[in-house]
Amino acid sequence: MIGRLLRKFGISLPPLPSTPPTHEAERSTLLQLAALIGCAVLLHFQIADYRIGFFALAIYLLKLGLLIRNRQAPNRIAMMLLTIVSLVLIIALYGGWNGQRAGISFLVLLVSLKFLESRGLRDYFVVCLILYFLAASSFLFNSSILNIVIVVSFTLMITSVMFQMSDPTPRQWLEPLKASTGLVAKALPLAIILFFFFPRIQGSFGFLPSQDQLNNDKGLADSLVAGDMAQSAFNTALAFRVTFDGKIPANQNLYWRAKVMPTESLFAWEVVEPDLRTLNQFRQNRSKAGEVPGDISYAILHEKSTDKYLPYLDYVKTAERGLMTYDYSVLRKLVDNSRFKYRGTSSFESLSPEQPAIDKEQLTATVSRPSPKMQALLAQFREQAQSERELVDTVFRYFANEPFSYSLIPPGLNEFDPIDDFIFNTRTGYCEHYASAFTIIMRWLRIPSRVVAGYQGGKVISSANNAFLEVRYSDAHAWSEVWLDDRWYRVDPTAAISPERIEFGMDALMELWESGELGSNDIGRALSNYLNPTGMSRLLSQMQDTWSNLSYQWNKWVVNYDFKAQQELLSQLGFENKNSIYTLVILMFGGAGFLLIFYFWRLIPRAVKRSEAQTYYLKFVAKFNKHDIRKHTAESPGEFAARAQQAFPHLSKDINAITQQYQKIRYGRSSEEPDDQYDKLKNAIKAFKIIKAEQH
Amino acid sequence: MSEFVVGRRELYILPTRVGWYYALILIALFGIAVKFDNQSAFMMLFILIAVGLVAMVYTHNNVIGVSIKAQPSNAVFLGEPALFPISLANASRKQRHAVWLICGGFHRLTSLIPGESESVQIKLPTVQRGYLSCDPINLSSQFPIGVFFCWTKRFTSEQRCLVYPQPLNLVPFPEDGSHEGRLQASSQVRVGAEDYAGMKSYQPGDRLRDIHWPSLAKTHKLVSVQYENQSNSSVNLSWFSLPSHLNIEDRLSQLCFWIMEAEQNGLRYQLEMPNHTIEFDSGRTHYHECLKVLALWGEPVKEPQPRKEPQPKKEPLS
Repeated sequence: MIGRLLRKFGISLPPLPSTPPTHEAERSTLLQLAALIGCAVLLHFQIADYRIGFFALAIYLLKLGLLIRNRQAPNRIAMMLLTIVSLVLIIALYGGWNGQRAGISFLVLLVSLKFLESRGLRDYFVVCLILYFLAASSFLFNSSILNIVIVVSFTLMITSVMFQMSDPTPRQWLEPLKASTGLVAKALPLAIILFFFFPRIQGSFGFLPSQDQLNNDKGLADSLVAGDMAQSAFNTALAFRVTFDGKIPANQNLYWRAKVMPTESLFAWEVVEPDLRTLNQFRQNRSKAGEVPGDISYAILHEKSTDKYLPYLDYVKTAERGLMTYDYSVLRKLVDNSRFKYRGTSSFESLSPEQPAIDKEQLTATVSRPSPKMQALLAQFREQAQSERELVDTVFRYFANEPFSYSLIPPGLNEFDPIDDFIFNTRTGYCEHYASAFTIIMRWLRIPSRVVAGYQGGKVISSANNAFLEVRYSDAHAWSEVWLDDRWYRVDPTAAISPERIEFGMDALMELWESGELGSNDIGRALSNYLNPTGMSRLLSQMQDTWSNLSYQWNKWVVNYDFKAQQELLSQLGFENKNSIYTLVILMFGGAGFLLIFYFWRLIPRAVKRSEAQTYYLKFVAKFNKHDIRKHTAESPGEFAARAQQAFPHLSKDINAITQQYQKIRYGRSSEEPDDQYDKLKNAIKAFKIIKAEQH
Repeated sequence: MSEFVVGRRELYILPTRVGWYYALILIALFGIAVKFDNQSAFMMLFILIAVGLVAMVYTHNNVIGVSIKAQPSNAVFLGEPALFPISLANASRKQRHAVWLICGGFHRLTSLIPGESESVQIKLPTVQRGYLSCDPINLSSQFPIGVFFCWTKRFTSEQRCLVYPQPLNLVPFPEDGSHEGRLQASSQVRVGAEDYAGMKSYQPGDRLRDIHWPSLAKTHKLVSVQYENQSNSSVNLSWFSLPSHLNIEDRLSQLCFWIMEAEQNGLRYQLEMPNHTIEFDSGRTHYHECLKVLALWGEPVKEPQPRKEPQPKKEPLS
């Protein structure tokens, strides 16, 4: 095929030999292949629909049964039926071909059907190739270090199967695995060069399956219903990582604002998307505010998210990514499900004076009406306070002094009157209960206020040369903001109920929660145990930190590696060139070519050097020097051995063996010098020790 | 050339069909990596590319440096397979896995351990009498993972195999002395006598019954007794005595059969051909000389005709 093509261009191939007969694949090899496909099918359960998984598993078990009975494939009609069923399954479950999950399911079914149908060696090779592809496509769902370790070892085993199939000599599984490890180990440096220097161009391939719309189940919702957020307390998935330019601020200052929710309806809060006009107006105003020395600069590496709102530290001043809005939240223009990096600058205080004038009516509007009991309470608040500021303080103190308690599993609230039920009855809640209740009370007291959702705190991971903060979904938090003296103030009612949540972070709280000490009298002691870990728990947390650090570097250098990072790498390597694509291409081909030529040169089979044997032999001769037996220049090894044997008759056997081995290598036929002969000589000489015979 | 060492210029390499599929998979993976901007998929892509490239180096180095040496081959009768002994030597410290030795339609898989050589008997079918030269020999391998295959330049062995005519028994064996009466006079050897002539060391071809066994026991050397005339009869095997309806090949086959018969029975025989007569004698040398005349009968020159090139070969598949 290729030969004919080349001949058209006037290139003729050297005469090809005739095709060797294909051989049957070994049964043990096929069983190994079967084990790999089994793994792939089982892993598939994690990603795609379980019904597809079960179907693939059934096909796979059918083939396994055939293999064990030493048969190859079922007849064509059965194959056709199975193929039609799998197509129907995919269309029925995914409604078509589009989408990553559909693609993966298709691949899994393809590999199991192809495996079932395989008869000859080439079919099994194709199965291996589909498996390679399947392994690679699992990265679309998971790019963690663990996954790449799994995938690379999977690749290793596929390669080992291919090794066995291309060499008909039957061998144990271990030897090919070793050989394929050698191959993959040699391939890795080459792959790393290609990875770092291959220019990352942007492109779009319309024919490929499009990205699935991931339901944003782990992020923050655009609305806040009391009781919803508490569930995320147990979601320890990573939300984002932060590196600060300076010191990491104290935990109680780390309020990560994501969404501002100014609209209330029945104890639930919602975001309001700004229109373009207000955005533009706001941007002009904000750009006037310059940076102040006390501002905090940081870089955020955000995990995959489809959320439009980006978390920034309160109160954001400059945002690299997204549009800042008047309520200090930052909106993304384009949403794609990938990791991303951005920088920001923030200060702990809101800007003063605040621009554009706030809509007081909107920020005090409530759908819920206060009940008579609540009105009495509100009147009580009004009596106690002279100014708005005192009013805020009074309500805050009310939450602190009354027996409210903090819980990760708050009880459900009365549907008809959730606010009363919470404030007068259950008095147990998660941060969003307190934020909601506080804000709605503020509004009823005619103080403009709103709920802010985001994250609070984070875990500091430090290593020798860098420190960063990990913020998880479990750090999700909600708090209130009140408008006093023409600027926004943050009020976190949760701090009144559970100060340790704010001071030490969610981790400490979770630890207490798990040991069942939350809310008990031992809380102080338990907290100090957490903060000053001893022995085992310290080791454990150190290990966790190391792991976090490793995966941070991994994400920075592999998962988020893009053209910008490439340019950075180039400048670190000292290539200050404007045309970085050109430099990258040259580096890639240069590096890979050089490495390949090096491999080629290094791996070329070489004849054994005879002189190596002499080196060993001279060491042997030198051992006799101590005992004053020296080899004369004209003496042959045989003659020397005879003299040595005379001096040490008890060693004569060893001396003889070494001398003969040496002579065989040095003067024997060239074909009779495989490596192990050298090793034999080397080991014999190493083991040889001159011990004086005991005198009797 | 009787020895052929596979050097860099003698070795070619191309992807196999599986290799092209592999490339296809890589292209698809590239598309996915770019489309989803997934760096791990890029990593995997490059690992697979690198595995392919390193496999190419492996495949190439699996065959380079192997030497092929052709050994002389023994004559066979037409219809029997011709055997060409070839020795493959691996003078390096590397094991060569799964190297195919290909010669025309003959395929043999070999694995060469470091420093060892292996001899392979290439079996080729015989279709006509005369000299048969070995088809060009190639080595080929797709060793590590079967995505690349390499093959060598053709090595044409100088060794030839002589193919004797196929022995056929169409006409009964000629009677003793049918023709020899007049020819016997010229021979110095008396008919019917078997006089002791002395002892000589054993040579292949001597009859078993001539071996002097007692001296084997004494000296541990094979000694055979020599007679003036080993045979009590002699026979003239003549082209002209064959019936005229036989064609040339049948005549040669018949003569061939007679020679075998005569040699087996320990007769002295002469071969009479239209342009050539081999005098009365017996023994292996004589036997082969006669058969060689038959094998090469009708060829204008003593050199073998150049064999036609083997038909073009298809591309090997996985």
